Amino acid sequence: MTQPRSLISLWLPYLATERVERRDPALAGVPFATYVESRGQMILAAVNPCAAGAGLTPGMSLANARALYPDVTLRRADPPAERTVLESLRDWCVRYTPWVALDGADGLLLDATGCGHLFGGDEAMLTDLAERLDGIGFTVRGARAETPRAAVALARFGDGAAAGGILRERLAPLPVEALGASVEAAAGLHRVGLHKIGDLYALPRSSLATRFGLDLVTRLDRALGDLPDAISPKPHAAPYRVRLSFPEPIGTPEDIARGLHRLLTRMTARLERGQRGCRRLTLSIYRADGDVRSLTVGVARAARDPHHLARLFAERLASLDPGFGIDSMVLAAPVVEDMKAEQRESRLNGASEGNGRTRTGREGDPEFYRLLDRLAARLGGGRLLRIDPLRSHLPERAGRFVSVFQSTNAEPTHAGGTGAGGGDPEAPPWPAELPVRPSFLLTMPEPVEAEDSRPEGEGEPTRFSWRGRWHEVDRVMGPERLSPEWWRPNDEARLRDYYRVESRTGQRFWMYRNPLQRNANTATGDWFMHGLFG
Amino acid sequence: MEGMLNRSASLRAPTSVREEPLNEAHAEGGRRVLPADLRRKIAAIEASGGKGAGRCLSTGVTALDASLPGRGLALAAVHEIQGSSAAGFALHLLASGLSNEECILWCVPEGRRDHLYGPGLWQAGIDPRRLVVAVCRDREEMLWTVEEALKSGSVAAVVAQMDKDRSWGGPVSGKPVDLTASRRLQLAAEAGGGLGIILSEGGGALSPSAAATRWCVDPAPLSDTRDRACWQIALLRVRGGAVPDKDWRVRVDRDGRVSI
Repeated sequence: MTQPRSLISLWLPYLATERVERRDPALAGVPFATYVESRGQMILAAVNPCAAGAGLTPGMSLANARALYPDVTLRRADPPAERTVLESLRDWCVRYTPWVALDGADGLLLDATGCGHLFGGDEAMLTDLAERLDGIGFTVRGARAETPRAAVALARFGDGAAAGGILRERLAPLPVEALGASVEAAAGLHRVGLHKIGDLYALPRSSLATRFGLDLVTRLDRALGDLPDAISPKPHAAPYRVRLSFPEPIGTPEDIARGLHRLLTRMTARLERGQRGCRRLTLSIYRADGDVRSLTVGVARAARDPHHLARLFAERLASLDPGFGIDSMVLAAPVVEDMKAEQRESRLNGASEGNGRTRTGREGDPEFYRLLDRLAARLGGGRLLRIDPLRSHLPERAGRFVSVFQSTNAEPTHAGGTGAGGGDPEAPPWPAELPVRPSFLLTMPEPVEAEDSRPEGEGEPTRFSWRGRWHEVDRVMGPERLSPEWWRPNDEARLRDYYRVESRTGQRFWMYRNPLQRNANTATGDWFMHGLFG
Repeated sequence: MEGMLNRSASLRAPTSVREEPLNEAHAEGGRRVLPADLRRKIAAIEASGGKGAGRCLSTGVTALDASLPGRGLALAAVHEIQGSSAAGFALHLLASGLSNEECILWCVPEGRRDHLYGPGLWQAGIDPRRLVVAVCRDREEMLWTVEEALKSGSVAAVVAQMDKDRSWGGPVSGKPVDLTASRRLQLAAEAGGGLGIILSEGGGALSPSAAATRWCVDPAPLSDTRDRACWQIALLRVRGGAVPDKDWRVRVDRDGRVSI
C-alpha cells in the first residue's frame, strides 16, 4: 500500500514588491508598484497590498495609476532579480524536502510525501513554512493536496480554510481558471455556464476535449490524480571539492606533490563519473600556523586528466610556502563544464601512417590544448592570444586579439561583438572582396612626417620619416577610403584614406591620412603609419 | 663502408657529432667517395628515426625546393630566416606547406609594436583561427615556449619572432640565437616532429647554429602593383646540402601564385 502523495504549493502573491520592500522597508506601508514597458506603454507589473487597497491593479497603465493615486511610488520591475529571489527561496526550502520546484514566476511546489512527520505532520509543516517565510518578509499562501495541480489551484484560488477532506470536494467550489488552462478555454467554459471545477465532473471527458481542448481535460485529470503528474526539482549539485587531512603536518615539496596527486586522482574520478571537466582548479593549503595559501590554475578546454593537471601545478607548486607545516589540503574545481568521455588516442596512429606527413597539430587535438595550458601556467593565460574574427570596417577592430581562454574555436560567437563573424565556424571570417591588407598591423597608428608632392599638401608623399628614419617613396597605391562606424556609440574614429606606400628599397607600408581635415598649423601630422606588408 | 654506416646509425649520435663519421670515412678509407653521395646516405639513415624526420614541406617555389636536400623544407627541424621580410616569408611558408587544419604557435616578444593582422593573414592563405599568439616577457621565456611547443609535437609549426622590431636597414637591433639554444630547439623539433622557424628580423650578426637552413629574405619592389609580395631570397646555409650561390627574386601574385 503506497502512501498518498503530499504536495505543498506556496504562492507568493507579492513577491515582486516585497523583494524591493525588504531592502527598502519604508515602502511597505505606502502604495507601491512596479512597472514594465509593454507595447510602447508603461503598465503596472505588480502592486503591494496597500496599492491594491487604493484600487491599483497589475496591467493598469501608469497614467491611469497616477490619476487614481498620485502619491504611488513606482519602480521599474526586474524579472531576473525576482527569479533569483524565488530560486534562493527554493534552495532554502530544501530544508523541508529535497523535491522542490519552481511554479511559475511567483510560486514554489514541494513534494513533501513522507517528510511531514519530521515537522509534526503535514499541516504543521505548512504552518512552519508560512511563518518562517513571513518572518523574512514574504507573504505566502500555501495549500496541501494529493496532486501538484490541485495544490496549486487551492493555494491560488482556495480560501485557505478547508484543509482536510476528499480532493474532489475540495476542488469543486474553485473557479475553472484554477486549472490553469488557457484564457480562451476558461472563457468558453464560462459562456456555457460552467463556472466551477465541480461543474466539469459530471460531463463526459470526450466532449469536453472536443470543445475546449485536450489540455483542459489533461489538467483536470492531473488535478484529480487520474493522470500522473510529476514535479521537476533542481538536481542537487555537490561542489567539486576534495580534502586531504594529515595526522602530522607535512612540509617537504615531495609530500605536497604526493598529496596533490592523491587529491587530483580523487577529483578527476569524480569529474569522470559526472561526465564533467574542470576549467579552473584551486589548491588551498591550511597551514599549522592557521594561515591559508592557495594556488589556482586554469585550462583552455575542460580537462580531467590527472597527469596533465598535475603538470600545470608542478610549475608553480614551489611558490606555495608551507610555513611550519601543512595540516590539510583542499582541492576545489569552482568552474566545471560538461565533458564527454573521450577516446584515448592510439600511439600507433601517427607512427603507422605511411603516406604523407605525421598528422600533428590538428585543430581540436586535445594535446594542443594541453600544450596551451602548460604554456599558460608559465606565461599567464592573458598572454596566449587568438585573433577574434570580427567583421568591422575599422582595421584595428577587425584584428582584435582575445585570450584563448575566452574564445574557443568551437564557439566563435563572442559577447560584445557585432556577431557578423560568429555563428558559423565554416564561414570565412572576413569578406573575400576585401582590398589587400597587410599581414602586420601596428598596435597604434603612428604619426609620420611626410613631404608632399604638392606644396599645399593634397598630393602623395615623396618621402617620409617614421621612427626617426627617412624612407624614399617609390610608388603609392590607393587610396581606399574607410569610414568610421557611426552606429557605434562613442566612436571617435574619423574618415581615413589608406594607401599602400612602397619605398625605394621595396618595403611596403600601409599608411593613412584623414581627408577633409587639413590643419593649417601643422604641416606634418596628417599621415599615420598603420600596417606593414611582409 | 656498409658496416660503418650501420654503426653510425645504431649510435644515433647527437647533433653536434653527426658530421664526424663523414670525416672519418675520408681519412680512413682514402677511397674516392663523393661527399654529396655519402651525405645523402647519412641523411637517409638519420631520417629513419624520429617523428616526421626526413619529411619535407614544399616551399611553394620549385627552384627553392630543388636546392634543398629533401626537395623541400625539412620537418622535425629548425629553420632560421633573417632580413626584414622574414616574417612575411615565414607566413608564405606556413600557408603553402601546412594544411588548413594544422595549428601554428606564433611567439612574439612583449612590447613589439606590429602584430599579426587577421584579415591580412586570411588573404595570405592562413586561417587565423588556427593560430595562437604567445606573448613572451623575455628571450629566455620565448626560447622555453618554443622548445616546449616543439617538443610536445602538438603544433604543426612554431614561429619565434625573436626581435622587438625589424631592421629598416638601420643599425643592428637584434641578438642572434646562440648555438646552444639553437641545438636545444633542434632536438626539441626532432622529438616532436614539427617545424620550427626562428625569425631574426633585427639583422643581428650571424652566429653558428644547429638550424637546418638559414635564409635571408629582403623585400623587393613589386613588378605589378596588384601583386601581394615580392622578395629577394638568399639561402645562406643548408645542413646536409650545398649552399647555392645565387639569389632568387620571388613574386607572389594576387591569387597567391608564386613565380620567379
